[in-house]
Amino acid sequence: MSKQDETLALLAEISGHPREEIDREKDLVADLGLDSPKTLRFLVDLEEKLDVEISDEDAAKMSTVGDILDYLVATG
Amino acid sequence: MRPGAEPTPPDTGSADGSSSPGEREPVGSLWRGAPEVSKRKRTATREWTYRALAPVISGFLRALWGSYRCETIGEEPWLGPLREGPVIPCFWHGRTVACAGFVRGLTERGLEPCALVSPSLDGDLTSKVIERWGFRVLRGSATRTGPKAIRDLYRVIVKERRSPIVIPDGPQGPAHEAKLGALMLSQVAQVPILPISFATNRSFVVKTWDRWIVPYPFARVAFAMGEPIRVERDATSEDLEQARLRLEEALNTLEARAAEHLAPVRAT
Repeated sequence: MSKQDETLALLAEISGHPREEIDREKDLVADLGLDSPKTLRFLVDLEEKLDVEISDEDAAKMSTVGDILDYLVATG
Repeated sequence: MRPGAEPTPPDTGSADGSSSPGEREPVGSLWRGAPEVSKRKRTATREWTYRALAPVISGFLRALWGSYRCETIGEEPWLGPLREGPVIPCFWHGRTVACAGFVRGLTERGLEPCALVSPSLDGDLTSKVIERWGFRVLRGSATRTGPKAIRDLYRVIVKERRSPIVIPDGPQGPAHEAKLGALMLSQVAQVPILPISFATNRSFVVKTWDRWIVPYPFARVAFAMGEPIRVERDATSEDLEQARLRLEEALNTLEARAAEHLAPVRAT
């Protein structure tokens, strides 16, 4: 499974939205309803699954699904 | 919160900047806490004063704790989690003096404690005192760094196998109202919360929002230890809220249980 697929699968699991409804344009808060506990869990799980470390500064810039996917591509 | 507005007394762990269940925040808002810049300056004089005061305060508290006649109630449920690895000791802000000493005593059983201390200038002194007790200190607070602090604590649990103290009604209350931080930390790190409280036969109460209780030297102090609280990894917001209420109830019940334990002494 690619990083993108793993990320989308994780977002679907945590947000409770069907995977096929989640696209790049979705806002993490307004569309997927990520509150503080869900966001914390998402970031922790993502770091574990993909073996990456997302800095606080980078996390602060993410507001859409596309932001996360672009970040993962940019950081390899 | 204004810089320096947090209390100087052991202002340990308050990783509770969480939103209420269902509240929506962008990812970025979790990391809204920029490094704190105090209005007061970190001068050489202040640094020297803190360095001089830290061993005095630390030593005083050690002597105070050493004078207490301690008893423990309900220790059994803690034994397993303490053997297994990191835990999250939890107590109310107003019970910090005795409970921090109790947690420090658990280092003899292998517990490696960690505390979250305000990034404010006042936190510098607290930090220096706590470090002298062998605690790992992280700088952060509910109002300034919010859930970022929880992620820092998570990393300390996972990477260093340390046990972070979380004060669920800190740093500013309301008293005896738990926030979600401890539960969120338990959820992501999958380690149990261990609630604890105490009662004493002789103490003075500082008239702060949390009614800070300091047992007098040589007081009898009964610590009541509660059943571990665990939060499943896939817990919903409603599950977290239920766990939050359980934590509140546990901490209040434990205090009452400890007081009952001491009651016969009070009557004589």
